[in-house]
Amino acid sequence: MNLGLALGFLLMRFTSIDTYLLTSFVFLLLGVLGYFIIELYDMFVVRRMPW
Amino acid sequence: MIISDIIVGPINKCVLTTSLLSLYTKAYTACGLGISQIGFVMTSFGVADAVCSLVFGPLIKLFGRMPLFVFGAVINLLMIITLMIWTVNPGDRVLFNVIAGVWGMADGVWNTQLTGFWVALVGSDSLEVAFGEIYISPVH
Repeated sequence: MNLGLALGFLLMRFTSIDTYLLTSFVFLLLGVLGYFIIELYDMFVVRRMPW
Repeated sequence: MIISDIIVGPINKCVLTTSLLSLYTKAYTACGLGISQIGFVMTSFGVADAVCSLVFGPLIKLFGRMPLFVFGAVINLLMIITLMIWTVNPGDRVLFNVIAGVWGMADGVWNTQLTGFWVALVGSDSLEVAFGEIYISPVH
């Protein structure tokens, strides 16, 4: 949590607004994709195993 | 654990919270409306955040975790896109509050669902570990 705040403030300090918004957009998109992978992991693994 | 922390964990949420705390207040509200209005705009965020944190907690039993997660992510992404394309205009007084309010709504989803997801990942037998990982651990 602290690392996230530090990363956010660091980005805010050294990048422009557009870059920051783009970075947080990509970060959030990756986060949601990661969430889907974790949430649906069992489903994919069970489907791939024939037994 | 650190991988899932970066992917969906508190780091991601905090980067987004920081963007509202620093970027939206400084680059949008202060420029468009003036420093004196930052408190009023952030009140919208706080009220929406508090109400949605209360509402979205029990909603997980009704809809499950995934629809709420997707809802939070979609409205958060939409707000980022809005900030990207919106030219700040002091006449759009309501829009300043609406953006902060919707961001608060998304934050309400993260507050409740992220905690629930973390508990599900760690296991409900070790709630202390889950909450310690999210809120106390200096690594995160």
